Amino acid sequence: MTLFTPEKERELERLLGQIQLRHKPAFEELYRLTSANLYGLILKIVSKPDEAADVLQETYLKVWRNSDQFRADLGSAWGWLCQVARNAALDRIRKNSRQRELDTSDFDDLLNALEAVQPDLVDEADLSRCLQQIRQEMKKPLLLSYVYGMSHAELVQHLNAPLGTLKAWIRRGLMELRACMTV
Amino acid sequence: MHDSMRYRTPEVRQHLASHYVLGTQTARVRRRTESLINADPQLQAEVWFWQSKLARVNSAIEPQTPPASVWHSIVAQLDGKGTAQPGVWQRLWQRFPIWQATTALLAIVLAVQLFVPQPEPLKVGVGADYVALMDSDDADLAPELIVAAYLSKGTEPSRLAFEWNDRSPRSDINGLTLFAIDKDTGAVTNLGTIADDSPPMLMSKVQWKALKNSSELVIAEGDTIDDKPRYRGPCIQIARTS
Repeated sequence: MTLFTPEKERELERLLGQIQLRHKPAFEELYRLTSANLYGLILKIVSKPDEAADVLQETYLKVWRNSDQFRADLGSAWGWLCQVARNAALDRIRKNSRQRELDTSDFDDLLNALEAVQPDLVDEADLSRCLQQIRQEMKKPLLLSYVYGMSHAELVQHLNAPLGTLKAWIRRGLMELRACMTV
Repeated sequence: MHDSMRYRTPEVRQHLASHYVLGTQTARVRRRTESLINADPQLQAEVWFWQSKLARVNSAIEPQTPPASVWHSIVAQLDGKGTAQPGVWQRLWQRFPIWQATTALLAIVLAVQLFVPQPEPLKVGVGADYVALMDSDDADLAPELIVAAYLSKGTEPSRLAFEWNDRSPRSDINGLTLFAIDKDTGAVTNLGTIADDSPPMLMSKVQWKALKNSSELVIAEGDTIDDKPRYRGPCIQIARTS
């Protein structure tokens, strides 16, 4: 949980800048710094390790090929890397029509870790503070979607709530989160 | 109003960006959102806002060491050597050049066949009045299924025909229901049950009218359009019909 410090963020930005110039040692350094975190993230969505390893490989190849899409002026390098990895993982699970076996046993621990304030982390106070402010029924589907890549249908099954209600919770939760984070 | 213009309001941008980053969009909607992101700097900024804020969640996930083979494969791909370890078939291929010769021969046979006029040209889509390129929610870029609609001519009744994209995997659509979404009102009309292996599906005047006025066709597993939709695609007029 050290990737999000301002120093690490600047380091990732620097490496991505060099990767844009096709600098392979920078790419290797980026892999060394981030692969375990991204693999952990992917494993939450694609639970089979061999498939998750494929997705990780795909992620880094996309980072290498599409590094020019990284915009340091718009947002965080870690955020961009996570988006590339999550998109690749979501593509993988949406392609497999069979039902996934999801392990969400660590969800409460994750939620507690997220809500604990750690002032050395970039933007952390924002998200932690805002997560504490939104209601549980909104927070849960938001984080289940984000962490485990749950679709609406999976959320309906997991939370045993009607689809319409669930969509309303997500929509409202996102609106409240945004309003809180842009104060 | 241009198709992409209606997305350019702050509310719609916020909705699209937040759901894109959250990951609740289907693959099809995600692809559509990505093309809008490339065309709209404000939507792009909104996406970056969400991905930067929510990335904190990922930092709370326990890191896991990936297998060493991942990096080796990446390096091999970057060096243009494909995967680091060739698969069984690749190794066999390299070992038996006779297979290469056999494949070359087959390629020649196929090439010759291409120059021979086909006795039964592909009929679906040729002379059609409307077509819909139907796309499922998986991540493939190419539409998987073509629905072609032919207006009644002479003794031939109005009809629908279905043809699969040979580059995509087929699935059984037998018994699924086809719906048309009206381009002006958004009203949904049930066009009937599909039989994949039957002759073209005949259409009544009411069904034809619904198809003609539709912006989109949807194939769903259930009796309503929201009940497990399997394929959807814009309905395009390609001939002047009355």
